[in-house]
Amino acid sequence: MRRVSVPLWVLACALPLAACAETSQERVQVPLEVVGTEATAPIEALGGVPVTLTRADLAFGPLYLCAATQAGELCETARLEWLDTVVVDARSGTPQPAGDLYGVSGVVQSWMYDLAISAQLTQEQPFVLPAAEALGGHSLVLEGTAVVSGITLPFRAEVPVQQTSATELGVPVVRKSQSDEFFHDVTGAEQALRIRFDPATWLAGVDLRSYVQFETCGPDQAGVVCDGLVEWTCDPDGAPVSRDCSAQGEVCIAGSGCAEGVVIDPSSEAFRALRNGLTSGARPEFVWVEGGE
Amino acid sequence: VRNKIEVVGFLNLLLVGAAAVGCGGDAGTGSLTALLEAEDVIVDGIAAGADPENIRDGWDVTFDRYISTVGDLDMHLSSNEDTFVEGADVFVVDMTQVPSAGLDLWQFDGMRAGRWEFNYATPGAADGAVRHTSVSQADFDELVANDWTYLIDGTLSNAEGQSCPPAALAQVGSATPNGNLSGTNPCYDAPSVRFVVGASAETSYGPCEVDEVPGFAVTSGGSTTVSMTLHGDHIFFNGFPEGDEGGVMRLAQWLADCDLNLDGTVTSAELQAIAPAQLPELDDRFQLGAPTIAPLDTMYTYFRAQLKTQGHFQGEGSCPVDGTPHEH
Repeated sequence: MRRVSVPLWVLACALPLAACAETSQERVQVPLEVVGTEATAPIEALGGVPVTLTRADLAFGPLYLCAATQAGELCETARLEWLDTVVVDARSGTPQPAGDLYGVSGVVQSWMYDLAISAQLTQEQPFVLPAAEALGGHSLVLEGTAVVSGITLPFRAEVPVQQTSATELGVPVVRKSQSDEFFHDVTGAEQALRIRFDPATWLAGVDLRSYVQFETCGPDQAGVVCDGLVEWTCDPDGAPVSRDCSAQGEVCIAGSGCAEGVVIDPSSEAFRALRNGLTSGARPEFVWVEGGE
Repeated sequence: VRNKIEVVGFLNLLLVGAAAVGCGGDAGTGSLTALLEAEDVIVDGIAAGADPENIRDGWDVTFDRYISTVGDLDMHLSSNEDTFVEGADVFVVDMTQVPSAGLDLWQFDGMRAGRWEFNYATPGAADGAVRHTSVSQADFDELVANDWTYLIDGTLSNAEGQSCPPAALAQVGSATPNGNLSGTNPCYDAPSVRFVVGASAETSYGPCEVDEVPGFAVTSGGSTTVSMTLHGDHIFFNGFPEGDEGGVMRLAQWLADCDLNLDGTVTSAELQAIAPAQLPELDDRFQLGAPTIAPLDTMYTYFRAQLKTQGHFQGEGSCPVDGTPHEH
């Protein structure tokens, strides 16, 4: 067995310095992959409403990984960062290269990211970054159909997710929660960090049932109601007038009548549910792909 | 192997000494008193108004009971993590009755002089908590039976106030709408809305700091006082902001809108029935992107998530929430 033969006086002098010095860090570069979740069956929205998505594009980035257990103000200097943005096809289960995270080795315990609309401390209006620009200034574009009470309802949602002057400029919109598990000692040997998004989690709280209505005109009623696919225009002074929306290949949307489909309005509950699903719903999955996998 | 152990043992000993020499250290011992403090809003309430500290949407807030479970103090010598002191006592205290000078519930003598890290917790009451005289036996029993961390009884007041519960959930009986709408939800006159909510919000706080200075210092032969301060306005914050509280907006209409049966009192059950998206009040003024509990599935989870943010240190000092646990 080999004895340690370092003179003790050398240790005695060196250790006071070593005790306070930071451990060495190396510059690292880790590929970032984004991936969606391929649905093998219709997704369930609130109330068990089956939804089939034909488009689920998410504008993602920039992303910051931090040493502390909380991101935000405790992450003034990120350990790794990816300052680009990418449009994620959240319906595809094929990993999509997004670029490289740059930074230094060491433990990361939290993350924070924007959805391609970044608020800066010095600007009242956030910057729309390329991925969101590609989606018309939005963070998420969803299109699909929902089956509500036997009626197939096409829908479209465009959701921007951004800080406003009423909230907190300069802070990414989504940050790790204390209830999220996230810990990794980054060495630079990782094959990739893969982030998986699942549109089912965004739709889980979205109630599309309110867009379908089975009503006819009541006495003295004005306005438009739907009886399934039939639009009724109510006139308190005359006979109601009906129109079969399906004859034009349309559906009857509660409160508005015949239309090609639902455009989810920013003031609606469904819109808030999508926005909340992106910011405070189930989190994306962060997976470190080690070399050889 | 024996040689190696000897060397490692020697290095350990040397490292302790080196840390003391290289990073600062003092001989001797001192004492520590740990106080429990209530932010003044818990005692005095929060007024409606336009100033940053006010409730911005017209409601005055008062608290009749703000019963909290606090304790499990955990302190480490900054220069040596292995030197620690624990104050395992947990007290259930009505924060509305805490004197302005604080409540001195923990006392530690013989603490080694030096700088110490400070951590504490707001656990559930069922795990051996002690009732403080400010709390009735009935309330204490309810906290213990439910393993709650908090039981909060407050009132929102606004002469022109209204409650606009989500129409899909509301059971309004014979109440008459006042003609206003919140989104598509009819509103009803409600000049006073009480809220009585028991909640589990078990949280560890620390290491705490004030102005980036960590913990507290014990001087040889000296007496040091620290305080754990519970803030009372976080349930009215517009989300989960990361920066200092100066940029926060306090809003209460969302809570008034949670009175589903319009009986004048919001309960835990009503909060549990409502999804955040069902409240039009939770619009883009709210920042929900960093909740302490995810996913934020109901307004009860939202309420609990806000309660988990309110532990502070020495008034406005900050403590990371549910950070890395100490193992010993």
